[in-house]
Amino acid sequence: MSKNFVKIIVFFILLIIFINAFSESYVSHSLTNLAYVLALGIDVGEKAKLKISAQFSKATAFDSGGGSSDSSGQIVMVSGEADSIFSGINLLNSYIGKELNLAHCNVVVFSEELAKNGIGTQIYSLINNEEVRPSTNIVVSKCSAYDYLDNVKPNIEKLTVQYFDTFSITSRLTGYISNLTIGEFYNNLSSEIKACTAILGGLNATARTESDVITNPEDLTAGSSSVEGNRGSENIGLAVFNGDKLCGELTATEAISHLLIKNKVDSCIISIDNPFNNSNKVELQLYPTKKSKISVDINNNIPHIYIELKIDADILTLDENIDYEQENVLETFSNATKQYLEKEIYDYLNKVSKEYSTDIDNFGNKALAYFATSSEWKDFDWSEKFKNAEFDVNVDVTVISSLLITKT
Amino acid sequence: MDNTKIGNKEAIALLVTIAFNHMMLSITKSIINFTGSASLLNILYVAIITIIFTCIICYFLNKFPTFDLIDISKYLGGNILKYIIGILYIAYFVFFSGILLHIFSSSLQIIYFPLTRIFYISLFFIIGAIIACNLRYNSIYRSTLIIFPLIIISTLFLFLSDIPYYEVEKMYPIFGNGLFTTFVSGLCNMFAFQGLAYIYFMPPMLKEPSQIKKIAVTSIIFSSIFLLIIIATILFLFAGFVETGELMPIYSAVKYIEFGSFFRKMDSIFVLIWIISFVSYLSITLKFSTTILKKLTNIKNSFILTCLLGFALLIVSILPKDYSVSTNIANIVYKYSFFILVIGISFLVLLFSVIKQKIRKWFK
Repeated sequence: MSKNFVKIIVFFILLIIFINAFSESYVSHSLTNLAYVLALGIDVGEKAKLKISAQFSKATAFDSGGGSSDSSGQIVMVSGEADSIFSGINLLNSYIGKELNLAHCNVVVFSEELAKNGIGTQIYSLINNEEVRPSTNIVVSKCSAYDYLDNVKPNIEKLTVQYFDTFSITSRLTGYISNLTIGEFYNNLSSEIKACTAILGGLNATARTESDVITNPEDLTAGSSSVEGNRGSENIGLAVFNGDKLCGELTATEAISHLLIKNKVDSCIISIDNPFNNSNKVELQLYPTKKSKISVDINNNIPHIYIELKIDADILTLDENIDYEQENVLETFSNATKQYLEKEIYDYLNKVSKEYSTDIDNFGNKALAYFATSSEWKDFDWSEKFKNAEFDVNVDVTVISSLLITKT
Repeated sequence: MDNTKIGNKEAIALLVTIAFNHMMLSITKSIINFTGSASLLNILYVAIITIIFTCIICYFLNKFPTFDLIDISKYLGGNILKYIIGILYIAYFVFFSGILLHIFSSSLQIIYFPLTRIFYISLFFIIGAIIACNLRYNSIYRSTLIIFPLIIISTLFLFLSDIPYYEVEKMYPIFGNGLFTTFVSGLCNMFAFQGLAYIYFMPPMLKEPSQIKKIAVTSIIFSSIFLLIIIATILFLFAGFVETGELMPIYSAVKYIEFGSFFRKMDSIFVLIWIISFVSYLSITLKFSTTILKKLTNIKNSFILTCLLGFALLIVSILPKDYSVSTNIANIVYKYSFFILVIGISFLVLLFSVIKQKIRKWFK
């Protein structure tokens, strides 16, 4: 009896000790004390090094019945300037009266100006934070990050979060952007090749106000499209980094080339000159049927990179008086598409290797097998040699059909 | 039914659980940092060497059925050697478990309990381990067998879920930091197989001591597979692991697991499994240390001894000033201690005991 009594006493003493020890951590994680950030914006500050912007959704936005139909009214933006991300977040903590939590942060947006100066510190700091998920998307905005976030209003979705979730789908179905994440950026940044990419964002009103609208996908990037809509922001193209510094951007067509090589696109639409009527364009929907085959050969210290793509295509735009069932017609379209794609991919590869000197397709990984030890690989200096790389692109295109109508 | 002895499956689960906890907390990071892209090749090579070594020690142990290393030491060098070996092993188990406890508590503090002192997190584990250790009918070994499938499933799940992010080319250059590092100095990665230290004390605990070789070799094979899976996950996932490093790389790998927008942040499930497996590891270590101390002191009340050792473990766990001290101890001091005590001294004790036994047989 007395033994059991001692056990009960010890149990209660331990219980009190542990309640006391763990309650503070529990309270700090309590929902009522946290403000979940949906998106984080980082700009160059005017008075301090950085301007941190955070986007939240009001709690009522998540109510299934009681939420306002005007979803934009549910978004709250706050910003403040500080010398580092976390002192900025701390400043916002004091303003909001809650602790900002990045566990549900879907997007981190960097302004182009900041990205040009280098965002390595910010990336490492964010990854160092336990709350940030590696799958958080990373966007480089051609406008300020604050403006980009302020214009991210749900269009056909009810919540902004649902819009952010469409990034991965848009990426796989259009090829105009890639679903790039902060985890991927960090991985590339900490590797030896140090070639990173981010989604290129901007405001669709910019081009209209500057009368600089671009409609051709070969030149189209974020902030230059003709899109008009409820949501002011748009993502088109990719931001290319050499190390942690922004060194250039890729247009919509270049982004497609990049994604075809990286096997990150399920289907996309391209526009080529009609082989039967040069004054017209014809649109084709592409479907990569096999994963890209990449091999690297090194001769006289020059990397020779061989890329093989196998793509099926459907004709979307039909012209008059063409029999799309004829084999020679389909073959003509196949050859025209092949020529177009090979030219675009060559141009893209020359741009990233010669102009940007950054191996964003990670061809270097394919070359690793040529080296027995890490020191041999380091001595080879891939980043330097990649500038002189020679490419051999072979795109095997099979135009399958013209969908429902086979003859015009 | 004999409830005081453990079966083959329980013994294998016990040895692999010990190895898994070391892999989870410190060893993988140390292996990848040392051998770089050749880590997988190195582990395959080291696993073969370890299996050969295990076969040799099991051959020696079979010469003394139902004897553990303490009994064999007594046979070889009397009470003096018995006390030396016993104290060395208690110090080895308690000190390094304490260091691992510090690493795990620090990681948990960073991840979940930012405002709780490491002391309380460690105390929580110690109390759990002491209670588990004193439950009757070898409950800890049986519960380890229950946890074991969870460890296997979670590790396989982690490996398979992260496949979309893998870059398999990271296994090149094939010889990583060089042939010498991979095959000669890389032999030090044998310390990944921490189950070896426990094998010396297993024969008296087994229902069938003659099965020790089968148990030991199977556990080394399982541990090698675990190690290969965990190293492959980290190596293929993190491009610049050698340059940057992660607090608990396996935890960082878990953060990548996502299935659409429905299954995200699955780290809580993994951490829960790791906590249970770590308590299991601590209680096994306490149990082994208590058994050794009991043999040295002849004290019958094992509860007092467990509490004393638990207290010592707690002290060790709060000694490191910061995380870097504990990881340095776990990666460097632990490695050398393992080679001196587990591979060196213990092997010599077994070898000389067998020679002594042979000589005695000749004279008879």
